[in-house]
Amino acid sequence: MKKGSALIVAVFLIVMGLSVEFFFVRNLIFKHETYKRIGMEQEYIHALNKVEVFKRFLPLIVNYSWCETHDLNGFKEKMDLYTNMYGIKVKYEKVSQTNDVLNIKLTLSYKGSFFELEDVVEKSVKVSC
Amino acid sequence: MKGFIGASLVVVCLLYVSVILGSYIATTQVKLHLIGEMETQIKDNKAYLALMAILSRTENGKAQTYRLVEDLVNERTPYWIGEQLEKLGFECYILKEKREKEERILLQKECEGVSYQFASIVVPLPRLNSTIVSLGVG
Repeated sequence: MKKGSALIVAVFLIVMGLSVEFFFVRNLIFKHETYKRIGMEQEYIHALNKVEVFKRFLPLIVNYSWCETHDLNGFKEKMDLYTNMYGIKVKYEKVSQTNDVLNIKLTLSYKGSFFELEDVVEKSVKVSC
Repeated sequence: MKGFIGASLVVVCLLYVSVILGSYIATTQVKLHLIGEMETQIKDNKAYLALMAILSRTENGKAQTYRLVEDLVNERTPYWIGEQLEKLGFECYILKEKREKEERILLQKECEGVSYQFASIVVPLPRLNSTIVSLGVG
């Protein structure tokens, strides 16, 4: 009789342990998945923000980069230094100059851990040093 | 023997009830924690959106980004950002600038018991320099 009750208690404990563990693991999976989704969305929003902030300051960056060298090759070099500050990569599709206006077409790209964001910007910027 | 089996069944039922109740409590705790986490992220995004809303504007044909850079270069306080934040409905805010590891507060309107979430942007300055401007809203 004593052996039998000890066995039942042991079975109860094992069943209870397994149940608790089941819910614990289920919660962990749920938490992990939700964190991942929040993280992905946050990263995307941050990337969009970074690119948008860069675009807001682009005329200034173009002006400052041009004023450093006054030639198109040097301009790209200096502009790369500014874009590195934003963690953005720039591909120069078109850069030309007409009097004091720089015509540029750039592909901006930002690489996150879940995705890569690309944006094309075409702008004419009046430069004055 | 019959009594023993009945008692053990009752114990099993009680255990299951406690496990199920425990799981509900645990799940609620996880959900509340995640809601808190999301609220932090939303506040963080709010600060970013406020900054973007202000910097996207133009006043008297001049972009606000130019205005901000001019103020930072000339070491003037950008009071207009505070005015525009209040127009956007932000009562409590802190605007900081971090240049070469040195941090200075540009604007401050603190409220008691309010926690701030900061959004930082890189502001380009002449001669390949830059500065980090952070806005905290409560």
